[in-house]
Amino acid sequence: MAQPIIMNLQNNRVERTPCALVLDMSGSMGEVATDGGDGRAIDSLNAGLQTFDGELKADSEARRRVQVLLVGVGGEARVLQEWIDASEFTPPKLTAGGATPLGQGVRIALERIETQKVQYRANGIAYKRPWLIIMSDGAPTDDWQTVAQQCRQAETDKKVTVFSVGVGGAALDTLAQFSTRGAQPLDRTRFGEFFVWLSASTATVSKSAEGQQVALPPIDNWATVTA
Amino acid sequence: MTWTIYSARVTGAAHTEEDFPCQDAFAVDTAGDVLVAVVADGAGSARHSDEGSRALSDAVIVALRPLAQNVSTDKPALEAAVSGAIETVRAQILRPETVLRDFAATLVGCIYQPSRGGFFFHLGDGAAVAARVPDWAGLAVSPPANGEFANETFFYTMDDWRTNLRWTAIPPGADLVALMTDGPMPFVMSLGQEGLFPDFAAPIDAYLSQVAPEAGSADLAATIDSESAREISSDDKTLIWARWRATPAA
Repeated sequence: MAQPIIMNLQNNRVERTPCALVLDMSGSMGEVATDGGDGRAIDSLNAGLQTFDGELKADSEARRRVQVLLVGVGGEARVLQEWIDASEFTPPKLTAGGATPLGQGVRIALERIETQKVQYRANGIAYKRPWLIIMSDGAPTDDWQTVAQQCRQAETDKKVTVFSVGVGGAALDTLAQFSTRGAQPLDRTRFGEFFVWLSASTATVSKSAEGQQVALPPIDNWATVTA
Repeated sequence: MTWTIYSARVTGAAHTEEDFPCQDAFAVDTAGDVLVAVVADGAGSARHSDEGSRALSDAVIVALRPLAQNVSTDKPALEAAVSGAIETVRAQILRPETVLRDFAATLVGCIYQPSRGGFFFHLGDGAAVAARVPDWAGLAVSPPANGEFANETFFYTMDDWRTNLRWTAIPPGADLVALMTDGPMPFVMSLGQEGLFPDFAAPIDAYLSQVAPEAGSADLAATIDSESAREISSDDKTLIWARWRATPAA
């Protein structure tokens, strides 16, 4: 009977699927919901990040292949977590406060995506098209129009896949300017479902073969539909 | 001296689970000291790519067989033969209710004579290495060609396939030629794809030098289809390990 010649093969080429999240941490995310929602959006977001982390770590391939970048937008825009493998990722606890310089946050993310590609190429690491998730419960309070156009152009040029998500009463028309697929509304009670979808989607993409059309999980368990 | 061929082709877990056929194919021929070998990897999203990879492999081997004696001195003839084979497959593979993209596949091949040299020809991903054992970095390497992203590559079915068909010269002196589709590359190729990964190549070659082709090929298949290999990649995997040596294993 045939037997493997080597039992434990070493993986020299772990492809990466980069996933950048630009998350609204502005003051409104810390307000108690008055629309029948449950508690503060920032708490739900923090819980959602824990879910995202747990789901990715539970997938033996995704934990090695998905890389995460976190950019927080609250008062200022800053990197909360530099690129890190999902297996090493520990979600920071986000606190709400300040305005929403979303334009600057997206600019930082786009720049970090391109510099990470340079690192991948320099180290012979193959990578899938990066994902960029933009999530806000309001509207940008800085100059956002130029970077929104750059973001859409990057998506048109197939440099990045963008999902723009509006929480609660977010300015969906504005957020839609960042992505060629518009903006999806997210109910404040469904952060968990969104991050389960995100982890499953990035895991699916990370394991896709060449030329494969990837069927993502449906969004209807987290996206709201206006009646 | 003679060529001893070990070959393995296994269906990836991703295809097994969905009851898809293996989309890899290969063909090998030897004529005296000349080695002609081809591996082809059907595109995952193309519904008849298993047929495409098979047709491509067979057509290229048939086209190169008559040229085995002119391996290193008549490159234009070799280029014409390979390109002609691709054109023939493109022209003849269609049937009603199909489009050419349905049969998409990559191509990695070689025609080589240890005393005179030869060539790799390569379209898309996968890899090829010609080495003088135990220098696993190789005398010649044909690396994969992807688009910017890992899951984008080039197929013979594309309009610009001629632009993406690469030829790499192999100098004389190699006694190992390894061809592979994309699937086994993560554990067969070194980081940066600059040669064979020594921790794979050394034990594999040492083992295969002790066994006959049929048994060695079966164990090679078991290796690239092991639980360890499946954890690394769920893709189809094909690996040809061709050794030029004095005494074949019994």
